Amino acid sequence: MNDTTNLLLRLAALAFVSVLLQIAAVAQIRVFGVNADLAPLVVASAGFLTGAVPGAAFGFGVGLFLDLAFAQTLGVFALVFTLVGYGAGRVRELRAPEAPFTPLLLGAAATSIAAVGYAVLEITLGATSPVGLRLVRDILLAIALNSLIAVPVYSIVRRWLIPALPEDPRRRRRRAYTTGGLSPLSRP
Amino acid sequence: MLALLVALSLILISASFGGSGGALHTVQSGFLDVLSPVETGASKVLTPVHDLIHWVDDVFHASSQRDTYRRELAAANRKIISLQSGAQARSDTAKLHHIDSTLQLAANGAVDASVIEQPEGLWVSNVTINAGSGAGIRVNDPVIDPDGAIGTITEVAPSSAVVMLLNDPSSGVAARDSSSREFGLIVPEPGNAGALEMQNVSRPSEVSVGDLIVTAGERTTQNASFFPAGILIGKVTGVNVNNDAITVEPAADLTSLDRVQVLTAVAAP
Repeated sequence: MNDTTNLLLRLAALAFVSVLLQIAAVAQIRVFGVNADLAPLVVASAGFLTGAVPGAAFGFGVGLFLDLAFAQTLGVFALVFTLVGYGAGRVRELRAPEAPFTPLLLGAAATSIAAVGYAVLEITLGATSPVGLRLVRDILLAIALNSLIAVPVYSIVRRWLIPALPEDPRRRRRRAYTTGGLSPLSRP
Repeated sequence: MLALLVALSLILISASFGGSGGALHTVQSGFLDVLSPVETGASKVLTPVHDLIHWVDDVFHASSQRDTYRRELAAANRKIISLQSGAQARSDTAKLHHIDSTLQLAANGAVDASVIEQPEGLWVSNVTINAGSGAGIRVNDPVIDPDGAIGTITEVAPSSAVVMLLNDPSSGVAARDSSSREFGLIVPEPGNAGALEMQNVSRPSEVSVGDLIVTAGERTTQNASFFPAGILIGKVTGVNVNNDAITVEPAADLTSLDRVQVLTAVAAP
């Protein structure tokens, strides 16, 4: 099995398990009146690790899965998570941030985009729920809650995907140096 | 690729929005049929985790609920106290007006007042009221409350006055047994700050336990306070014929006074 196939299978399994976990458990647990939402965190983590286009495709898949599972207007989650996955991938490609709190910021940003994007699309499609302070408060609470679990979710996604990811040239250089290879400066 | 996925999403939204049938809905319902058992199984597997998180959430929720109920209880208690105070004030006023009309005290320039300073200890028998010379109150004016006579004005300021209660050692009010019409002087009972004693009774054997003692409508001395006749002072609780001591329980609770009335224009006999 080549790396691409391995990565595709792992992404598919990740999508299935995360959506199932979201529907079966996480969506039923309310903390401070809101639910945590694994989907934007998983999509953003996968996009950040695999890149913009694979991230967009993964986001589309997860979104479509959620659209089907929640029996709602097809394409809404798919569109939102496509953008989340693509955005996370682009962040990695353009800036390659390595700060320890990057997953936290990534999770907060992904949740914000997903929540606001979903609300905008639903309102555009004629949802009757009132736009008010309650909605803003719920979105802010969901962002805060998701930020708390963003780091462990990123860590789990990274552990799951890293065996199938093409090796990062910078990581390869660092590993060669730290596992006994000579520093380029010390080579004759 | 991104454009393709976005376009595909928009096509899906357009196709599935607002429609009730069609191929997409068939796919969706078929997917749900397949997913439901998996979802149910996953739910069962994750039940312990679910329950644990619910338990933690319930603990926090219960804590915030307890705080909310405590606040609500405090607010309700304040409301009850306010309502009870209002009801008590209305009841006191009605009783005072009843006394006024029964004893025809209205002509005596009754001034309503509230006690603003209660007795500070067992041996202090003065209270301060929130009306003074500005309302026409003068030293020696008699003071009553809804239950009966309570004392005499001893000091007057423009907007407050001090009332010497009946249980003060310096107090002395002319009184009469409402049954036997025996005359006497009401003074504090020695060694018992909460009780009164009726002295100088000429025929104590005529007085019985349970008799009501009322003001006699006479002065004890030239400059003493003058209470109109017929104001309740208390009830006889003990008669000792040998040493001429008649114990009287005050009708008014002298340790807890609220609304009072000062009779500022009592006509001297």
